[in-house]
Amino acid sequence: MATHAFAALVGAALLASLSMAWALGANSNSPPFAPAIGANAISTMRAAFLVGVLATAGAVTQGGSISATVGSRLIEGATITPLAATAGLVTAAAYMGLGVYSGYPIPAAFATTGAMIGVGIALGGDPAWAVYRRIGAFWLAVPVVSGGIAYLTATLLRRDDVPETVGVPLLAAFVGGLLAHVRLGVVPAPPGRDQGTVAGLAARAVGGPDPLPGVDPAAVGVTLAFAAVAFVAVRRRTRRSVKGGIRSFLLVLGGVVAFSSGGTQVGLATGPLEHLFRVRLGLPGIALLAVGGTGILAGAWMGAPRLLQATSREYAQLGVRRSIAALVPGFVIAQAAVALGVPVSFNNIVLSGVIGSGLAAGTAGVSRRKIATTVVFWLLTLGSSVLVGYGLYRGLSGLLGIR
Amino acid sequence: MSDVRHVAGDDGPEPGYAVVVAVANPDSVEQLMRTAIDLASDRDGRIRAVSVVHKPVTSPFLLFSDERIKREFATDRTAVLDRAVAAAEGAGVPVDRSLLVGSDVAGAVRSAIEAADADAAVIGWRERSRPADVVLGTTVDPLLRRAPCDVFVERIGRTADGLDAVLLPTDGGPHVAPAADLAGAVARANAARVTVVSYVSPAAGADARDRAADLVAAAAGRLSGVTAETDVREADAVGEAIASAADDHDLVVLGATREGGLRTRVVGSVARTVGRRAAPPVVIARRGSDASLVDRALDRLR
Repeated sequence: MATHAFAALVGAALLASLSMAWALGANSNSPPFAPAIGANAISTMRAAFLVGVLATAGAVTQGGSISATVGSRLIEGATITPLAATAGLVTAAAYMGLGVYSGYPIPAAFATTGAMIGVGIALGGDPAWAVYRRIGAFWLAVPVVSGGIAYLTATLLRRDDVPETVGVPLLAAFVGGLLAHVRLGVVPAPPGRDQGTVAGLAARAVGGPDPLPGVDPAAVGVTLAFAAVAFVAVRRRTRRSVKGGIRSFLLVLGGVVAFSSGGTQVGLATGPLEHLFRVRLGLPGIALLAVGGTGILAGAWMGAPRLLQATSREYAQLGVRRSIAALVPGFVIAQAAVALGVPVSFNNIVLSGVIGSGLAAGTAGVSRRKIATTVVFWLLTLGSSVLVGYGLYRGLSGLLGIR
Repeated sequence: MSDVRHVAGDDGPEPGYAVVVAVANPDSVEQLMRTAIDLASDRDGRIRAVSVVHKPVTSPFLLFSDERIKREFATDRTAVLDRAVAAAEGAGVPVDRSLLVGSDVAGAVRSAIEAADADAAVIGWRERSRPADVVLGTTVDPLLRRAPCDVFVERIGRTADGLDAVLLPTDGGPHVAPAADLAGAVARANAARVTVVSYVSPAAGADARDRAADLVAAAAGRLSGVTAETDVREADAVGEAIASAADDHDLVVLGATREGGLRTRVVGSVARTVGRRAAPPVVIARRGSDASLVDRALDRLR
């Protein structure tokens, strides 16, 4: 009897996780390719296909760190039971649904983080203040850093004394160099970590401990090699045709960002099940990420064409240079979030990026009222999801008589 | 965030009959304008063409000011409005234009209706919505449900060249009045005749037939200066019957019907069937709701 109930609970939790992953895939992974479609570098359907594949690949290879944060670091002294996971996921999914239905800006990362904190406290756990401070600091830094990087990128691309055959390859080199430091679950990692980087792997292959990025000569060498390859490849293309080169860069950048977005989003769906999968069922982390990745794939393939169609027009209006300027910080911040295990909402990053790139053109042209409304909704989401998660778990637990 | 501000027409409502026509797709502008012109010219009214720059909540432009969005990112909408104004040239109906920004298209159109103090709104509806038109499809229902004026939803796609015959099926209810008004306006503008028809089940008794005859007479009574013929016909499947009768007409005007479950309550299942199956253009008319605040709050939850 008890095993039946447990199996039913696991089933419910899995279903909730899959639905959440589906919703995330349908709603948040496609924007990276919108600029490439807007620039006619790729067709909508092909882009939708790629978004699904890349986001899923990102989810499986990069999703572990944020998943672990959501699942086990938000609360001290309590482990997330299947019922609690279900309650948290249902709360988060309800917020996402509310956002889609009502048209209010409700970021999934805020809703999930809040819901899991609420559920955890209801389980009798203690708030992990140190983790909240870290996450809060990251969230506060996102608009500044994203806007700043976008501003710099847009300024570089706009400068007349920097020809595009230099500016675009330089950006490509920057992105390429960073790729050497992207944390991947499939790259052998130093003991005690789940994810390794190509640069770190090279450094360890040469010998010596896992270095800080940029300190070890081998790591520096690999970074420079990645950067050089990206620089040369994009430079060749831009010299042949500036427009074509920019388009190819936009396409690759979109791919890299879609990959990163998968890595940042899947944890919001799989995190609540971390304890169940890893500890109680004894499954490897990648199994859980594969479940989430499947949901994201299905969601992206079903939802992306529509979303892409709508957003690509907007990016087409934004223009290629500003689109690049908005995507570069998307990549940088998403990877920083993966490295630090901080749940983020991808849309918030792109939003600040677009504003930053707009500033480079002279005027911000933003509406203070809209910013205020948006921030208020973000805060409301965060605060109320804690309460809803708490209440829902308490209610379910009382109703079913289980923890 | 349904924030909406007006570019043109900020000088407040003018007296007289006003029609708001919501335009989005350049291909359907002329069709919707034709209906709006017939309605407005019949009552010496005016038209306000409205287009909404839809910025979904996930839009990267979310935080830009409306002014900037209109200035830099709305060229396609401006072109559609130009086309709407051009379509009314020579019709003798004054047309002004209004460009709105909003993440909720239905809400934006509704606020435009209020700002223009409109008596009627004409909006398009596409049976097979392509991804680009999804916005429109999801707009129709909430708009119909809460619009403060008569709303005419016209199926986009098939237009007749000439307009000689209008079909006006009726089964009573509050929405027949605007349907008859439109049928009359179109018929007067095009010197067309109107067929007013009601359907009864073949098994219906004398009472039901008398009632149907009364309904037809009541609807025909609203048509002045128009050649109208009235008829009570037998049918089991009313929607199908109207669709096949529509073949002999150039326009079908239906009042929204009320039967059916929750999902079909706004337009009605008969109206939907006709909208899908009938060959000529179909307009579904719905009388403006003067719903109370409580009703509106309940509507939101449905």
